[in-house]
Amino acid sequence: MKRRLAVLGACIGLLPIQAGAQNIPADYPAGYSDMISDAKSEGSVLIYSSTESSSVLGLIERFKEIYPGIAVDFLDLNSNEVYTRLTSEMAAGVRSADLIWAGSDSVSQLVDAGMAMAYRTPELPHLIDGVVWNDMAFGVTIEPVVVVYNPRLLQDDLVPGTHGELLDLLTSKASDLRGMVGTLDPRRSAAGLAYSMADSDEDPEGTRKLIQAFGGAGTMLYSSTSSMVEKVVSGEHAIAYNVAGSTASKIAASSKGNLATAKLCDYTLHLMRTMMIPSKAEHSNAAKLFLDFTYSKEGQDILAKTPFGTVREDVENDPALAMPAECPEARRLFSPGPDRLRTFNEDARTSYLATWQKAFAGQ
Amino acid sequence: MPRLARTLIVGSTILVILVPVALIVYQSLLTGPFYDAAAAFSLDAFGTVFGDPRFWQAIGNTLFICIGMVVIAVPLGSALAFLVVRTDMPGKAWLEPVILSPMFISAIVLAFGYVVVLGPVGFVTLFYRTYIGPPFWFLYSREMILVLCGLNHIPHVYLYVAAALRNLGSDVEEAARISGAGPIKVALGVSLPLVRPAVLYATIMVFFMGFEQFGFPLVLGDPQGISVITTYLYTLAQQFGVPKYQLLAVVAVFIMAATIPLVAIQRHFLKASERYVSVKGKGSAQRVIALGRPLRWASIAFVAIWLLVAVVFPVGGIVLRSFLSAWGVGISVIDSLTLANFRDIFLLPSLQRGVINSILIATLGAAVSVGVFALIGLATHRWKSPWARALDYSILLPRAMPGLIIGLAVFWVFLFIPVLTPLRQTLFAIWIAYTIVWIAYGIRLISGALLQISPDLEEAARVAGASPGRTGADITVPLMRSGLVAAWVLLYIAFVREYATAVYLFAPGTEVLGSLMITLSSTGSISQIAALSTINIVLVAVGVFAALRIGKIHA
Repeated sequence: MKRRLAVLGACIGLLPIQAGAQNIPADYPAGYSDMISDAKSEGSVLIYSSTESSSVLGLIERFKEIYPGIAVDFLDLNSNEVYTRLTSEMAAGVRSADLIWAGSDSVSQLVDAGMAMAYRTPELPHLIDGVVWNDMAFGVTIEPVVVVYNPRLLQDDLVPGTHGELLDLLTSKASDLRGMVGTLDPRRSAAGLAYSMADSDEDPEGTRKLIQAFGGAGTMLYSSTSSMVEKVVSGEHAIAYNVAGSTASKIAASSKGNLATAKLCDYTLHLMRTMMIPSKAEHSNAAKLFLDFTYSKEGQDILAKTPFGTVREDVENDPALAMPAECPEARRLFSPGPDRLRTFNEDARTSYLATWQKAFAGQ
Repeated sequence: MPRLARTLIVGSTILVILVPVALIVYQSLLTGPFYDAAAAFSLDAFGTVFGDPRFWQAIGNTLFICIGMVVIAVPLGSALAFLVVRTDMPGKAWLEPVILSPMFISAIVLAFGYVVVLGPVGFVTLFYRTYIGPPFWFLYSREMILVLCGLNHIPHVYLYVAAALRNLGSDVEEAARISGAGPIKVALGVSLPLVRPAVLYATIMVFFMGFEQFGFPLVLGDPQGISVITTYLYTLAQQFGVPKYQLLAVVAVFIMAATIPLVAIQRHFLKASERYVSVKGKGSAQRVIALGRPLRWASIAFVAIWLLVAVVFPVGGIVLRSFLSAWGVGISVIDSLTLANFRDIFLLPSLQRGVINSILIATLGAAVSVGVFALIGLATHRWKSPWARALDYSILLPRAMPGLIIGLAVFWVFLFIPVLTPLRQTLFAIWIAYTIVWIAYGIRLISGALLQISPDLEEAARVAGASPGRTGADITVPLMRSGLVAAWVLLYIAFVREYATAVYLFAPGTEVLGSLMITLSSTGSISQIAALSTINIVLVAVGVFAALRIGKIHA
């Protein structure tokens, strides 16, 4: 009897580890189950995110199913608030985020400022190139930056397929399009500046001409994407340039055919929503678990059904997010890394904005 | 109230207000975040901001809007208060909650509503273009922003002036009527001059509110690049990728410095405020003034047109939008009707909590705040002391700062003052921030009501042997009850629609609706914002109707 009880006890003792172990892929490191039990004793992961929770609810719910006992506290913030909260709280030495989920620019900046914890994710071999920087910044989704237009106002044959065609459209129809075009204002929007600087890196002369053409067509300049896209749907604008693909496809789905997207075939910028574990994260094991789950086949499958594209080689992308078959090479990734720090450089900013302003005024 | 108690109350209030304000002033003089050891003293940030032509442009636009708002809102709001409180205008009973309704919703939401209705392809614009002719307005213009801001602030003036008029005995008006004055003459010659403190408070308040206008300029000024001081500040925060706190602090300090002379002017106006005592020991029922047929119709027409433009258009626009998946050229409204926007919202636990927290903080929180304000009001009531004067100036400072900045300052205070740190992630932190931001409103309303109570009544109680505390509890407080209820309603509304202040303060579990709307507006779609706004409108409407009922029962 005593022996039987002891065996039973041993089995019960083993049970949690067994249940956890079932989920651990074969190529994960040996100590992974310890990390899971550490994460469970931490009990929660606090995420500061500029990726809105409504888009990734499926991912969060599934994570909680797999790891019962780890609560996901998700704070929807904009990228400035993410930065302010994290840096202030770290300076004060109080509880702060365990995981940051923001744009690759913001995260690269935080990594550069020495605020990140290094972690080698076991999912690394399955990811496409240019996704992880220094084991500190982890791009978890990819989405194109697109042109959106209202098909009732812009005929099919006028929809631009390249930056050159967009330039032609703006110059040849400048008077018809007056007040009907929108784009982000690089002077008032960090995203607008990042897109415009990347355009200029890709094709300085072409971008200058394009900005002149925007100026010539009386383009409306916005500081926020959502109201700009809403105005394309309503027909106040016919076309808007440089819109995050996830936002565009979410709104297009409920637009009754009033919003379509176009990817430009000469090159198309691609954004990465990027994760980071702060160096002082109190629940860093839970954060690592959440990161690995996001990268896992199952996690990326879930994300591929949201407006975001995947970063795994073995997950199929939504066709709306994939580049057209005729230009597979046109993808330009906003990979986390030193390149993403340039928009934060005061001199680079000031000199680019001066050029932009002159071009928009027609010079 | 004993002198020591007064000094303690006033002193601690000033301390609570000045700590976050001082932090912002300190931050404006540094080269980096104040907690960064590498930050040095410098005036560079002032140089950067004052050297930016867009800053001065924003200042010009702000003043244009401030003055315009005063010119529109003060006369119309006072007229409306007179009509509702003192005349036999028809429909008064149901009119009050409707009059207040523009205050229910944050301006950013109303602005989205205007885009749906009065924008270049808005429903009313298209209707007008089809049946009447080219529209005479362009929604995205400075003038239109001014007009809409002005019409939107009529209720603020109304609340102040109406509260004062309610406390006014009608004997003087009757005397004027008996001597042959018409209703307009009574209003301009007797009633409104008697509530001049309230009108002046309202004027200065509306001017201040011009400085803090954010929603209308952000949404309506955005495509044309028309910026005011707050939207300049907002984009200043956005444009560097990482916020440069010293620049934000400079703009906040500038706004505060600009308000000091205004307070001086206000004090000058109110020096002899005892002259306005009008609730006297002699009881007299309030009697309303008969308007006569033509004036009745004119007043109804005036109210109807204002309500159409200031309430029906934007609220109708945003509520309609919340039930549509999309709208615009070639889309049938019937086809795109949907409940999906609301379903999406209620799938999010943070939004469910946001609704509950907003209700809690707006009902209980606002009630406690009114108690705090009443205590401060009583402490300074008829107290000629430098302390009272210092308080008068200090309470206006947090109001003068944009909500985003005072929210940031309170966030830092809770972060870096160790005693407060445990409270940081509770609703208490948000309540404190709201109370600090709205202290000027609350105290003005309460002291406006206090000033109208004649000292005879208090003196009578004292002569009869009552202690100062007892006099306050039995005489002063009951007499200012309508002022307290008005303050509670005002704060309820303010707390429910408050947004920027809590942006840095909410934590998982303490989300509030307004701040969630801000974060959604930067990334989400207008559909979600519209649905949230409709929920917000319903919440406030329910609360205001309840408050008005309570107010009536007690009166």
